[in-house]
Amino acid sequence: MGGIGVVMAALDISQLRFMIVEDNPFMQRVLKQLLRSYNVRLMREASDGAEAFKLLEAFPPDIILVDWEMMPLSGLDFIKLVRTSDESPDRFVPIIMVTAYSEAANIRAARDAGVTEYLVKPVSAVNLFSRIKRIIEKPRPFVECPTFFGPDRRRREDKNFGGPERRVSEPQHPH
Amino acid sequence: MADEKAAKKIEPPNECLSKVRIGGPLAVTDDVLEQAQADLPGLSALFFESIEEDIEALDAKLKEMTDDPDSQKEVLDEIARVAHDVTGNGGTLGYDLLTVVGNQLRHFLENATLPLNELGQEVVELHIYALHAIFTQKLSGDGGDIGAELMSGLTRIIEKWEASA
Repeated sequence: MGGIGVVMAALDISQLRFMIVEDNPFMQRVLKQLLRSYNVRLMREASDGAEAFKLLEAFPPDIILVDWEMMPLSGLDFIKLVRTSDESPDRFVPIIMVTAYSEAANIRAARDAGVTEYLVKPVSAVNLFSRIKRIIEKPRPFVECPTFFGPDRRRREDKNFGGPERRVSEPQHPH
Repeated sequence: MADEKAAKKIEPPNECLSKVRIGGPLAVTDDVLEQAQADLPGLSALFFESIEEDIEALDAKLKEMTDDPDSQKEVLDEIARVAHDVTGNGGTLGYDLLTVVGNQLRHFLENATLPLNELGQEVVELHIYALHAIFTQKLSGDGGDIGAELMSGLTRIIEKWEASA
């Protein structure tokens, strides 16, 4: 094959465990098929945020793919639950929001809920894998403050910034 | 994000990295990605079934449209929800125009002041008819000349509605 013009390091992600949280049967199949194409074998599906949250204990995923619009618990509320609930089995699990919402307000809301990556549908083999790859190769530190818990929302580092570090503490590792 | 100035920064262990290898027979190469994309049309039966169900649901909701503010809102909320699904699914198998029209309909409904007057209802109706046409004629990509004609008609009705608002 002639290649698709996307240079990516060849990562073997076959040992990663994925959870797909999507209520649309077609999109659920698309995501499953793409993950299988990436040689992923360990995956579970849930049709809404509540079902997914219950499943987290029995199937702790390495990465979660979540849709936004679902009933009874939306993808956005699911992310908030994972990040802030005392009952959350893993508050740090990387979460990719996969949604048709492309407006800036939606992206901001997802970021403020604690999403790790944001992918606007339509989904393709390349754009989904690029988000997974970014999680693996460029993990972001988490930030904890009274109003937020999640991946650092200031993704870009200012290389020219010469001022003092404004956060109170240095990075810490969770217990 | 002002609170983050006084926030604690945490570096969680990179659980993913510890399970990932570089290279090997199961690695995701450009060829693997190309094949994965090429295999997606294998889901076309499920895709068309899903789009058909969505369009039938939109047709059914259109028939329930009334001028009563409460029941109209209920109908339009459901139309917006289904249009959102069409937006997400359409372009996945190359039916980009389904995504464009679905998104335009959802965007219109999110920004319109309710209850919709007769012209506003016509905007909704024409978008649903356009989705119908794209689906029944299997207009992939931008739909060519027919697609351009459909989009031009939708743009005109939205402009008319905006001018009347």
